[in-house]
Amino acid sequence: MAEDSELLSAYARRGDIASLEVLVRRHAVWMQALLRGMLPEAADAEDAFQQTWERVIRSAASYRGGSVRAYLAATARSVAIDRLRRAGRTVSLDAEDGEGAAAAETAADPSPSPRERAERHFASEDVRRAVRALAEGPRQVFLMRLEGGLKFREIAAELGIPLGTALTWMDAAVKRLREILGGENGKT
Amino acid sequence: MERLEEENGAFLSAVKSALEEGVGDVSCWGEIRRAAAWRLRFRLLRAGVTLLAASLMVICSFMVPHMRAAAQERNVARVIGLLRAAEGVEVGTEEESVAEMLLAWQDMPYENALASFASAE
Repeated sequence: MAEDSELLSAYARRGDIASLEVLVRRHAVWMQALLRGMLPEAADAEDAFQQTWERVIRSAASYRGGSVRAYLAATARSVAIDRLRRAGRTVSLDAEDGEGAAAAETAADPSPSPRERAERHFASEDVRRAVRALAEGPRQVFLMRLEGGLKFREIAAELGIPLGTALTWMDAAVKRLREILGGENGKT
Repeated sequence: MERLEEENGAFLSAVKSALEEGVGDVSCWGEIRRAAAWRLRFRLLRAGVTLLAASLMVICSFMVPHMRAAAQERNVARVIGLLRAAEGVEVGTEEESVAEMLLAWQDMPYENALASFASAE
């Protein structure tokens, strides 16, 4: 199986569209999940997915190595933020709770039984609503870590924040999601 | 941080599964493919234009000196022709050879060169 960097280089240097298709499909799930977590509407997330790849296509020739996944995640995040700003939404990493925080509080069953906790399965819309209820900074750190698979140093560099802040925000995001979605510590 | 993720492993795994539910369809691949193909054509066109411009510059860099030299040769040939046709004109003086005179005259129109020669007589 070809490495991501080989696929991207194959398109950038030789115009190999088949390699680009492999890359697009390989990263479709996590990228769309990341964008669905950042954008309120599914249609927005779909458009953002397409725009992300169009940006990657335009800048492919200038790719100089490094983690392709981190590069894709950063591009997707940038597209999502641009869309939010164009829609008139302020995007501040220091923002308080995100939109729909109150609604997210009542979305999930607050008191699952032990059996339910053991067989935890969250409804996708409950989770997306809960993620969007997070404050902007913790939400971005959480999504880039969980879906983007970036290292915390990469996340900190991308967001322009100290490493310690990235770690703190991840911790805060996990705790807040637990409050909203219910459930206890992973140990049973 | 690894500890946080270990302790919350099952929870994070469930959250991740929920976030990824129902996504992964690349229905917009057609549009992405078209953008990729267009970008390739644009890059090829730009490369072609650059190559054409570079070729023209190389050709001009050879042609311009040759054209100037050709014009100079025509002026010199005309002066030589006038000198041969003129009667009683001695080509060459003690101080100046024909070649030197022609070098001095080569950038002049031939009428001026002839007038200059006649006034030197």
